[in-house]
Amino acid sequence: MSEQRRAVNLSVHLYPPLNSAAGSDRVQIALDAPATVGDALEALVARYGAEMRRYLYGDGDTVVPAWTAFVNDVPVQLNRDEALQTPVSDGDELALILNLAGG
Amino acid sequence: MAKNSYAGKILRVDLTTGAITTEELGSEYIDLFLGGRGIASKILYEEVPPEVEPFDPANRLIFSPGALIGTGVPAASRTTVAARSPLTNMHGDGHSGASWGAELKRAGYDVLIFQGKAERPVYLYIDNDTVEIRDAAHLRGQFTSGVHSWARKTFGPDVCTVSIGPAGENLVRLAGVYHNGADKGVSARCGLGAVMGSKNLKAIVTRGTGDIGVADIAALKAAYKDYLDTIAVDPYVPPATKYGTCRFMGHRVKFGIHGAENWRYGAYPWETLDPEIFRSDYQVKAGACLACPVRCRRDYRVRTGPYAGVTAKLEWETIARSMTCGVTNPEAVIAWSNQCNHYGLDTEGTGDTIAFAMECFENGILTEKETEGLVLEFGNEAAWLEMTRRIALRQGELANILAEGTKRAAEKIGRGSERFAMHVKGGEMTAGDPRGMPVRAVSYATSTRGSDHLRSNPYIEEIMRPEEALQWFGTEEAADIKHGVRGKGKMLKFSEDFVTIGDILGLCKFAYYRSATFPYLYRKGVHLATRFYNACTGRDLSEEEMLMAGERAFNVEKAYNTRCGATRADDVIPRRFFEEPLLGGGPSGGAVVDLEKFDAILTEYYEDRRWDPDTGLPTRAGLERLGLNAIADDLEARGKLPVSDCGKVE
Repeated sequence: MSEQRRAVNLSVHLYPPLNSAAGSDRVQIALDAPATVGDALEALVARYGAEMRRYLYGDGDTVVPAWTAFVNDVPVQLNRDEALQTPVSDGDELALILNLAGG
Repeated sequence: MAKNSYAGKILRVDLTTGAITTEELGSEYIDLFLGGRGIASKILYEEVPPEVEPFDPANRLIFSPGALIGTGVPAASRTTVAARSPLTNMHGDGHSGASWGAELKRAGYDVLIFQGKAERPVYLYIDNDTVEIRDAAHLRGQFTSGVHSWARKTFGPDVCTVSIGPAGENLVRLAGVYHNGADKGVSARCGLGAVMGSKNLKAIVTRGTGDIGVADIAALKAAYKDYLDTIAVDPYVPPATKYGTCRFMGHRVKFGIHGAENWRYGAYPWETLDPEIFRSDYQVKAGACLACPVRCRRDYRVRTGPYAGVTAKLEWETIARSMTCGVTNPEAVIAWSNQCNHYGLDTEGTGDTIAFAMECFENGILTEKETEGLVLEFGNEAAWLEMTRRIALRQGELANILAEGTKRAAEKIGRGSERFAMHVKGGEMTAGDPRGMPVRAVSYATSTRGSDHLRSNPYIEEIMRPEEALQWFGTEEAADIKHGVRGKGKMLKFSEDFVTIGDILGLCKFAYYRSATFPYLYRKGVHLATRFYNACTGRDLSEEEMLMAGERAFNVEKAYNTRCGATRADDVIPRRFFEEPLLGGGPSGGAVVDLEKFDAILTEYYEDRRWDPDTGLPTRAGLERLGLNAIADDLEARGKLPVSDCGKVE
């Protein structure tokens, strides 16, 4: 089987408010290899619809910069378009968390 | 109906003479300083020179509701309390939600100033035009909750209160000023409750039934709609509404910046303090401060076990400071918050001070002899709770020392304990560990009231895209959290001026000055804030003028601190952050604050503020640009301007 046809299975940990959109803190998604963080976000929007899109993209076309993706606990700050090209591999854990603290 | 949201009066109470007077709130206050923290800072600078010590009767205790309180503007709920701080010995202020500030405005006063000292415990009774100083002997030693209950029972359920608990009466430098009892809000930082105690002022009971005007209701409604539209798409809001401030746990976990066990551990066992546990197991009330649609207030109750029946309003910082003491039992956290709220303590300062003592205990600097039998180890919740109680009452020699706050306690204990004292300018640390996050590190240093995450937006670099950083701060590098340096000083200066607007207008930072994107942040914090202000007052400020109002207030506070002797050497964070790698592993494990980067950002910050980068002193040009000519003259007369400005050697 070629690399392109292999599935990339990800365990995705969704922090608030994404967990509300998905109805769960943890979901599994399968992507076609080679896969990226950006592909994972698009898969989440495709599966969970408008609410997921609103939380990830706000009212624009770019990812809300406060989201950070952690690929196996390595942070990827999503405030740059090129960050979406970060590769993910089969069996990775992807966590999505708003970079927001405050008080 | 009043024509605009200003009542137009200052109420002044001299507790020494008993004189109660009113003064016009003239244009010299409104035009440049607007309200809240702006006006409080001006009054403090003008009326409390550095010769007046914090517990001197001549110190002022200033209550200054934000300019938009009570108007119906969403989340306009914050009141500034200001005085010379007994904790930092510099400018001090604290801010609280709850409804007392609006009640003062409805009674007809924009600002309330106390001076002097009563001979015996008193409270101030305000019922619109009736203002009386009354005996408070029967309230001596009462909890904040007890005072509020007594007031509502005695004067009716519609009165509002501010009060101090036993900690404030005992001049504990970690005491706060509580609004409407123990569970509504507190002006916690800077030891202002001790200033109130030093004046023998136990409480203020307030009823106001007048109108707070709005100059242009249609404009207010239009801005309100735009505000709701903005928060409807800002991902920052839903978690706030669902979890309250407990939501910040996720951020700390994923970045590994807890600051646990006296700011040594970044990653730390946190699972028992999961926001979902607080929500599902302990939450009994989800509420809001005055007029707030975000609704992040939370009350919790312990149902079983040794703390059964204990309830408390609890904020994220209380959880964080519990971890600073190594405590991760949520029921103990609720009990501790309850205890601090009733005795009238600031959980942040108290938690850090006890954590300091715990590290001293761990290293043998303090023993069970000094602790009078308490095993003051990290994580010992019983010892933690007991030491908190003793501090509030100054009970025992060690508690009496800790009641002075971390900095003074370290100076008194000595024997190398100073290296465990985590503070900036005498104010204990707050929020997350700054190692690995340069702007956060410098923001803690430059805060005018001691280490503080609410004095700026230390998270601003985490929500910016590179093109936005280029547009606003001159370089894409400013949006790089870990590696960027250039542009971050400018970014910090902007964020300080920006959030100061909130304190001036009385707008909650969580409802306006935190967002998931920079455009949302600016839209709420400057654009809509300006529209709300103009709608309520009938003025026509530009967004640039509004930002300048924030900058002006910050500069007044800086000048105040300068007059008290502060220089660049005081804009620094504890050595631990530079020298000791963050423990516990995790994403930030092993990180330290890079001193070279820290200095470079601080220098750029001073330059952008038009302060002298060598000394950190304000300059005449910088002050006069903001209309602060009189302050420039005062600093020059005191030899506190840079050499280049006046030829005098600092």
